[in-house]
Amino acid sequence: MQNTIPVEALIQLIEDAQKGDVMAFDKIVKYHQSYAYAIALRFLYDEDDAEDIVQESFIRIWNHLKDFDPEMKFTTWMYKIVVNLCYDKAKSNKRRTSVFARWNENLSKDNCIENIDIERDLTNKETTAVIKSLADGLSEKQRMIFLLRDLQDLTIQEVADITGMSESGIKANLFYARQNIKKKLAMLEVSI
Amino acid sequence: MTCKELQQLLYSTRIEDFDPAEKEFLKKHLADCETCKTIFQEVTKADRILNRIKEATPRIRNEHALTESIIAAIVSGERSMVYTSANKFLDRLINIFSMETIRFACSAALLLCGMTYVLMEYNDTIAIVSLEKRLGKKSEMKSADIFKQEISVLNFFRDLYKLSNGSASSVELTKTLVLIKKTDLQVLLNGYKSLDDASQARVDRLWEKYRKEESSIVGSENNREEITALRNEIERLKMDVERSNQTKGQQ
Repeated sequence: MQNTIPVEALIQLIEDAQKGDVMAFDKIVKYHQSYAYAIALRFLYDEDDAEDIVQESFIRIWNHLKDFDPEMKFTTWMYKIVVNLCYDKAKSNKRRTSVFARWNENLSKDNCIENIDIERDLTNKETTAVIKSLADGLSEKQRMIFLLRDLQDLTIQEVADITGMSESGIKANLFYARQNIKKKLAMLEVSI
Repeated sequence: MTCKELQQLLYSTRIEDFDPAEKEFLKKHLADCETCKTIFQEVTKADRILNRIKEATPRIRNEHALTESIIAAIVSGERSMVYTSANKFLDRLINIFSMETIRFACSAALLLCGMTYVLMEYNDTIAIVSLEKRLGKKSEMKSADIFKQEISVLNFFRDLYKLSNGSASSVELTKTLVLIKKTDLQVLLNGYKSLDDASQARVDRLWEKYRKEESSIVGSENNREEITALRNEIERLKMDVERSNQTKGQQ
């Protein structure tokens, strides 16, 4: 991922972009697109879908940049948009039968968690295969909370701001998700 | 804390997130409880795997291309925001003109129009120059004045011609006067020039009268008498001109 940008520099870029400076927005995109992509790919398990989400998210961010509240963290605002678009995409994917074919293609036997060497660098497909195996059985909400808190390393407060849920609701869902995932991982014959 | 509570805590919380008291309890408890120790080992392994997954940050296949596509979409979106109906019309027009046959036809039409315009201008210039020569005032006036004078003279004779020979459109009439009825014009012009001051004044008055009453004369059935009177006046004028020419010729 890109190195984090100093807050003052980011604020300046946002202010410039709010005035219509596309070059400033280009820098914002460069700094943040990998974060947006990570959450989208981990949630949707598909690289094309994830790239679509990133593109759509930044277009929305650009179009609503004037509504951005400087009191809010930019990444929180960005994640909020990404998360909502991910939910929408997941819904539309459910309606499409072709999505199963794509999953079958992506999650072939070679990408089963038991066959993946966790110690080496994982490809995107391997990462998504592992997450898919672990998150199987969780609701979309639980899966998203787990991704945001444990894989994106956001605070409970940030997750609450992004999802619009209460902190206690986040904790309850997170508890269920972690318990479920850790039990699965504990049962795996994976050496580490 | 009971074993069940500890196990729930182990499953739900990352060990690094345990507070110091929980960490202390865990350390002491694991020394005595084999079940919890096994679960702790499993959870630790699970946490390590999760950390590996967390570290395996998904990589965008082509970051630069993705950024470019976002910026391109934004820029084209900005354009579409100002995509008014006028722009749409212009775009349609451009699409039509991008067809080769249309382009060729339009070019030919433009060329034809241009040539016609040039030709008309040339003819007008020729007419003006010839009139200028006839008036013999070129050396005395600036070109703008000459033009004004010519227009004025042309208007005068156009009106005169219109009254004496019936209706015609002013453009056609002007062309006729200048290019076709050159002889008549010459006769009228020479006649006018050869008239004495009183006769010229009469023509001028006639013209003035015509100019003033033009609106009431044209197309009005009630002014038939007036039109006839004017026509007679013009006929008399013509005869005066001819007589004057004949006198000059005899001299």
